[in-house]
Amino acid sequence: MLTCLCDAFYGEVGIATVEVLQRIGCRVEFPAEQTCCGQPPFNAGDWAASRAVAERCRTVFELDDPASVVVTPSSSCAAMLREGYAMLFPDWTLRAQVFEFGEFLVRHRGIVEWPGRLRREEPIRAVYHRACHGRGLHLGDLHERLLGTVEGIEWVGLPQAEQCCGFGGAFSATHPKVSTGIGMEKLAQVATTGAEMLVSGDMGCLMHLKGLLSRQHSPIEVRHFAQVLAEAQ
Amino acid sequence: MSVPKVEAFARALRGEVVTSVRTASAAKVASRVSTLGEAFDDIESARTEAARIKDEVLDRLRDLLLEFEARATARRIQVHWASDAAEANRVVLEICRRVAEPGAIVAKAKSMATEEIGLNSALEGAGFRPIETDLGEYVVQIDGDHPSHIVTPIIHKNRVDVARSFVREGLGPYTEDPAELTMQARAKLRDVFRQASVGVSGANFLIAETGRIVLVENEGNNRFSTTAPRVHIAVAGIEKLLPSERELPLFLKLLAGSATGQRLTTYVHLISGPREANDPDGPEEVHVIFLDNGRTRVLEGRYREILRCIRCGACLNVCPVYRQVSGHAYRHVYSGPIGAVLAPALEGIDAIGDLAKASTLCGACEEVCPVKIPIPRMLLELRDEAARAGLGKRDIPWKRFATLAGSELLWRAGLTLLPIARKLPSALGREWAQKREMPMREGRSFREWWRERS
Amino acid sequence: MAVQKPVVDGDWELLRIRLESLGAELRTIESLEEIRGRRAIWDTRLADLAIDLGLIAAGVWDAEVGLSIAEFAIGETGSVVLAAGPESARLGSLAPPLNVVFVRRLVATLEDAFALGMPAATTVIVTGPSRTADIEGILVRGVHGPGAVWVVREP
Ligand code: SF4
Repeated sequence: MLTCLCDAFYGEVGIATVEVLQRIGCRVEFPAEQTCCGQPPFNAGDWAASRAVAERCRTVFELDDPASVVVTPSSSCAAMLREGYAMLFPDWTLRAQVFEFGEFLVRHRGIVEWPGRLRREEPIRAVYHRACHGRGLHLGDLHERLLGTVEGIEWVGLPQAEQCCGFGGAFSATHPKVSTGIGMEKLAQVATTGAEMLVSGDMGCLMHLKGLLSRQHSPIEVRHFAQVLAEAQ
Repeated sequence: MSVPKVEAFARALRGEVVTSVRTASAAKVASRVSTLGEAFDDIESARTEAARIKDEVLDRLRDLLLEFEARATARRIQVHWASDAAEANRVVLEICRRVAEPGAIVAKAKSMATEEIGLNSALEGAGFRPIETDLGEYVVQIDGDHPSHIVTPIIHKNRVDVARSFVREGLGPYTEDPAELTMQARAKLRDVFRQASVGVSGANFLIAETGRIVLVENEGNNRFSTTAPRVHIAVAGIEKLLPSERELPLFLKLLAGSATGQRLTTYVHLISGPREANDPDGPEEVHVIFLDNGRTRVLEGRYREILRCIRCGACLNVCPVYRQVSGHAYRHVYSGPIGAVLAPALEGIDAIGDLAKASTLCGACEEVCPVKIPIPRMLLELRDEAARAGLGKRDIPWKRFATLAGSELLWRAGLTLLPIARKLPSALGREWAQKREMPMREGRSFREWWRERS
Repeated sequence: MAVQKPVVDGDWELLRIRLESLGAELRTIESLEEIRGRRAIWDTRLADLAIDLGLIAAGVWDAEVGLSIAEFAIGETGSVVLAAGPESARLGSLAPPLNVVFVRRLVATLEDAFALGMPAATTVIVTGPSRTADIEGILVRGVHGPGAVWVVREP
């Protein structure tokens, strides 16, 4: 599952995800009829609109079929399918196996090391921002652990890591002052680490933080988890 | 698009307030983690167990309340029932009128339940002088302010604010030293404890099996207020019960650790009733007023688990939105994530349901909650409920979005238009773009890449 | 919940460490010379000691020192458990700036304390000096209750 944001803006993240999956020997399908999982209207409280979108998603990804394995480079979309749908459709059970991308690599495929080196001249100092939707999925620090095995990156801990980036989907538009305030806090914490690269597993967070960074003309590079793995050869 | 209230509040907030709130909150988050880590071998199972016990209490609430009433009555504690704020206030006033002179001082220990029912104004209206004795609550009271945090009421004020208020009230010479300010308050409130005829507190736990009232605090004002005056009245929500004292260690440690990062609060007061004949001191009467005020309705609805809450405030401390807007933005005695659910659950979503939208749904609150209340899920349900009730303006035409997402063709067309749409002037876009660059397509399109390679 | 036999024989060294980190102290009986001649209020069971120390009997509100007897102490939390009764004023352990608490028994944990049984009378578990952090989160001791708590192990 590509996700709306990668469909609209960040195709490279989708490409990186597919490349990584293929590198570990997965056969990847991309149902072109896919659109959205229905999370935006769900979060906004318009569950009727969300159900319509979600029902389509159920069909496209054959979520009733235990043999389907759905992988998405976004904890927020994975959480929607696993938790949100349970609220939208109390009488329905998810049969397919749905994974957030990092979760799939580590928990499903048992990959604990990523042999490869970032193609840079100098090791780069980086921080990882844990996307909030990973909480409900109990992802913990699995992304950081896997990334920690990639050569050419010096990982530094992000203080107050439990704090959200402030995006929150439509929240960022309805509550811009609060949303940017939270985002600036996050960036202030990033700044204390001296990191040159900010990595996360969710393009929602990264889009938001990227927007704030570019307004500040910050040189900090923003990368998705999948892009780092894809780049490491 | 009209500006949501929480957002409007954030825009008007002074920078120092955000700094005060942020610094104090971050410190509490850090100490919570280290203390709970030491206090419990496995904090996860401790939280699960606490949630289970609270659920059991909610399931058996009626029986436990009656059991408490029987046991407490046997201890000469007088139990009263109040279905709403007005009734609770009336019971307090009746007791005050019976035992105290007009104009008498009522010593108030910190209590969210009495904030909830607006007891101070009821007492003042009847000619009594309620005085808050918790340092923070005292400052709030003399400033005519409201608490902005359920545990640390003046998290929004700094020492200069307190210093100015104390000089104004004649507590002593101007000082910005927190220790000296505290001693000024100590001296002032000593007289209150000596003179008060009635002391009013809340209750942290009420033990069904033993009929005891359990109060926790750090300052000692609670012990004074419940010990020195002739009469002690505890106002408590009906959900405050625990089956027995065996559950107390778990809850006391979770509460202290979650609230203030302590292993145990300085004082845990187990009140067994009025003084015995030969006791040198202690109150002659002890009353418990059980407050419903919408709780039985909540108990039967979809926000039932919110009644597990032990008011530790951990969800406020960790909440990124709370840190940006402070407690007053929630416009209710219960602020932060707990308030965003409890306030509309108690008062109705038409009154204050907008709070549910003032959240990124990051889930930090649920992660720290000692009784594992699924706050984000409840915020979503509140949003759904508000939408179905036709409340609140639709910010975004989701029906149209659903049509778009209902067809691959329309969806792809929409996606192609998006990078253009961001140039169009829209209210939403303008808000977004004030501080951020709008996103643009970066690099290749996935769909084109996929099509080309297959 | 698994029921375990309460550990009634706690570790006094741990109690000392906990008390110190709270800003309280584990004291010897000899060190009470420091309070000789002060205005004090005491548990009536401590009358002999009070006379030995030349303490001057004072009321709750005027005493400089309150002398109390704890049912037991709790090592894990650095607490003492005080029960109300005819021998001692409840405010005697609260109003004076210094509270000296005599204790003979030490249990290991809070769970042990409750398993052993809390006194039936009104009881307070005291964990260190009175404190507040209401102003800018800065810790101040002795806000309403005693700013100093001394725990004395009774032989
Ligand atoms: S909801 Fe949970 S975290 Fe928040 S105050 Fe209540 S018990 Fe504490």
